[in-house]
Amino acid sequence: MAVSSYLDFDVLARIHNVQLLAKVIVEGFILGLHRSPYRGFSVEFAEYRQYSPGDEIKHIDWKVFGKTDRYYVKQFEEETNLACYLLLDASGSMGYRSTENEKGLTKLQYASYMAACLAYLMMRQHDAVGLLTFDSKVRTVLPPRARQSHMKHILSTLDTIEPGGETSGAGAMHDLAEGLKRRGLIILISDLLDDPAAVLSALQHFRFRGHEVIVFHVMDPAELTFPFDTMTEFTDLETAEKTMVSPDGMRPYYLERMKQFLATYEKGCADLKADYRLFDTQRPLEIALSEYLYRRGRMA
Amino acid sequence: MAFLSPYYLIGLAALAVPILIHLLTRDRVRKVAFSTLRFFTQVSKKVLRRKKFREMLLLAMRAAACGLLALAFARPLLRAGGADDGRPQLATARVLLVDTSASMARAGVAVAARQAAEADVASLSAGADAAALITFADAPRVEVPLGQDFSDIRKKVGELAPGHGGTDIVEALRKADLALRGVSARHKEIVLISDLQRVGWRSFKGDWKLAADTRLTVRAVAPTSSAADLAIVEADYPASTALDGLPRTISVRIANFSTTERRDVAVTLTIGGRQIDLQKVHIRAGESVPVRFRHVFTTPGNNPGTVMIGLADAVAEDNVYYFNARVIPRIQVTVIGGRPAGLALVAAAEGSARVEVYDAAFFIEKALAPTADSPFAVKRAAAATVTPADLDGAKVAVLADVKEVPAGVVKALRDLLARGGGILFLPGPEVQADVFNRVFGRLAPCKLKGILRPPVKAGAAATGSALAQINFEHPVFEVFQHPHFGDLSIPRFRLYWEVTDSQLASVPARFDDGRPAVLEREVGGGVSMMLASPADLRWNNFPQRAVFLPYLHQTVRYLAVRSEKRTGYTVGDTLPVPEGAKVTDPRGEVHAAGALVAALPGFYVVGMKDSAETFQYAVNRDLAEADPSVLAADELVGAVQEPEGAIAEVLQAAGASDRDREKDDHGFWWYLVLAVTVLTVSELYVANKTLRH
Repeated sequence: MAVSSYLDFDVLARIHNVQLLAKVIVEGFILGLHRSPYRGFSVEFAEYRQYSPGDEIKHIDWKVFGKTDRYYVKQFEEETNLACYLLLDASGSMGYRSTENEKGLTKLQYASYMAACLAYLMMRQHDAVGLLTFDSKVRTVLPPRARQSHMKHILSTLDTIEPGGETSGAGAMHDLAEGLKRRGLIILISDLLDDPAAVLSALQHFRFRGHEVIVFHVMDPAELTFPFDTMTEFTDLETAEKTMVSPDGMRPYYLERMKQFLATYEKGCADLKADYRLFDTQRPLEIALSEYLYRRGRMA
Repeated sequence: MAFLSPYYLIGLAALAVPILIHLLTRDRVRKVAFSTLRFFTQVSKKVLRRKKFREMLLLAMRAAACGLLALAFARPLLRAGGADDGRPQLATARVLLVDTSASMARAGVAVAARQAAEADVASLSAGADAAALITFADAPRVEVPLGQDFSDIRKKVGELAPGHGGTDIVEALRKADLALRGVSARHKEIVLISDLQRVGWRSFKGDWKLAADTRLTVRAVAPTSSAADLAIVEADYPASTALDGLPRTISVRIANFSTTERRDVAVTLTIGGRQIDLQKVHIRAGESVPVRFRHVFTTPGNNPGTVMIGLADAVAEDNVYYFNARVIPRIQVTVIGGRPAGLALVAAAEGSARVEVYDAAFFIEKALAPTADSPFAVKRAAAATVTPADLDGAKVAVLADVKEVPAGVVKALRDLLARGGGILFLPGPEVQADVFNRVFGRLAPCKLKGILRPPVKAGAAATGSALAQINFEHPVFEVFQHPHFGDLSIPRFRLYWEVTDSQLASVPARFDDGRPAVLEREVGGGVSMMLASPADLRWNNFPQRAVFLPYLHQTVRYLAVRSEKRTGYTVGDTLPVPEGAKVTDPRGEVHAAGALVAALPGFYVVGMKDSAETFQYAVNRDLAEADPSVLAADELVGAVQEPEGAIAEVLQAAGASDRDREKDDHGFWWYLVLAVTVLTVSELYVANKTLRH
């Protein structure tokens, strides 16, 4: 049922059209579910669709059955109250891709696909989706819209986004939190290589304003395991600072610090009642979608 | 260090393996762009340093293990290579000790010595043996140090020629023994090639032997012809004399070392290039005769001369004797009188009477310069007015009854002694002991204690003491030795000074009560003498006796000649050469400054730097060198070499010790293997730790 079972990441990496990629993933994901979480909220009729197992029986149009002797279910134009904001970190560190993962994705690519998939799914759900990209400052802001055409804007933005600048999105998030009038869903997709206190403070701001918050923490596998073995000169992608390191000696200290770093966010998010999910860039995107749907259902 | 299996040393090339591995596998610096460095810590640098150190340690351990393994397989013998490791590395170490003294110039001796030396060199095995060449005459000289290359020795042996020096076999043997000390050889041998003159053995006191493992082989060489050989074996001449018109004796002793009597042998005295005298002597075989010449030296300064035997014989060099009699033109004497002439109370039979007395220097001046042609130039000065200038040029100062003099004059007197002059003290009634001791304590041969009057026997007349216990071998008194040459017991001394602190002084004459009358002490470079009674008629009648004048003349001459330098030397002696002077040797070669070793018999003329005056040294070969009597080789070997049995024991003990060492050496490679094992285990441990971090 997992996307990865029939969609290889290498294949995904070669699909440069983000829209197509999002469609492939989301449709595959939906078809794989035994029980569709696709629930109609709207009362406004949109179209008929042939019944398929799993559809609600109450939506079967018996009149059409009487005329055609086939089961059709009614499709309604869904109306939604949910505004979802995708906060995408586009800082320099998001451009990292480990050398061991050369065929894979950079964190930003992975995050962009994740954002695209989520946006596509949300659009399918007729939720309003907004996109905000940032590094040390806000780069682009697309306010939440439920129109299909809005999806193009989102995908276009995701297509052109390039990593750069330092991770410092706390200020932007505070501003956003102040500016949102309606409660909604905030999905932060970032490597969170920022001051955890500042980030958690911003998330708390969202929570304070009544938003649901999901944090998708995107990390490269190399960042989590520090697999280097020979003498290495590391260059910070954000600050261009360089340092010579003996990985053998450094590894225990690095992993310990990383563990503390992840634990800080995990605990902080738990305290805020925000969902926190750690992704390495080789992890299937469906999990992100499941997370979204779970949280979406809870909000409903 | 030697090796039983040296080919395994090729394995040392394995040292390169760990180095290559290290170079090939060392960390190359990768460059990686990373998302953040926030999780890096400074500990990395410390670890980096530690890791580098460990890697170098590992490299060293691996290289050491490889090297030691190769060494272990090569089976090293630790002490095998060093010359001083106690193991014999040479089969034979031989020191050739060749006599090059003047006696080796006799017919056929030098050739025989050379042939013997060449034969001894030829009998050595190249590569297994070592040899040294030492020549000797008066002193040994290392021509070629101990080594295994014999070409230098062969060359030097071919150039061997007798010199002019004497013979000292003992010193030469000591030198050769020293050369073999510490040398590692199975057989150590000194080969003495000499004519074995007995005189070369005279310095042997029987208190020294060769090292216990050293043998002495003697190759005695003898002259091929037994031609009659006469030689001057003793000589005496006045090295320094005053210009007094008196004849001096030049004497030599001529020995006939041949087996035939020599008759009418002409002996010629030549002085200043002019033949002075010729005597003919008969000398029986194996005997010697003295030949004396009398000559009045009239030339001030150098009087170079020779005594020559007019007979051509085996060795011509020992037929001539060189001498230089230095004649002092007039001896400058400064007489300081401590008391002027005047009246004095003198005890007489009818009571005290005031009589006129002479000043203290009166009799001295009259004795030293009775006429204008006296050999002494006397300058008088009073103690109260004397100045250092009065002592300029003086060779002798006479202090007649002087209590004290100014400090400057004391210094001038000290300078006079320093330049080899003399002082004669004649303390009298004017002198106070404490003042005298304070002023002249360091210059006089002794200190004064008090005035003594000899005890008078009851009923006897007070005649005074006479001189007794006279050392007639002393230059001052030798002229009085024979009858009718003056009787020193005639003068009577009614008063004299008792002396003290005379430990450093010699006493050539005493009063008949045993107290010192004449004392002598060397001070600085000169001599200080004292007669414990002055030339004063109140104290003694010495000035009125005939022996006073010759005594005073002899004393002043004795004190003066010390200021003259020695003129006679032996070949091999070092001639003193003043700074800046040039010396012309008998061959006419000029040597500049510095001390010069006299290598040839004859006259060495020293030219002073800033004056036309010259000084001549007369250099003779060692007169004893003419004596051809020889020492038995067995006697020589028995005297300095340990008994053969003792040598064998020492060598046997050394051999046993060597075997023990060899056993130890053969087992040494096990220690290397053990070290390799330890290194390997350590390497594993360190490598494991290094890899883990």
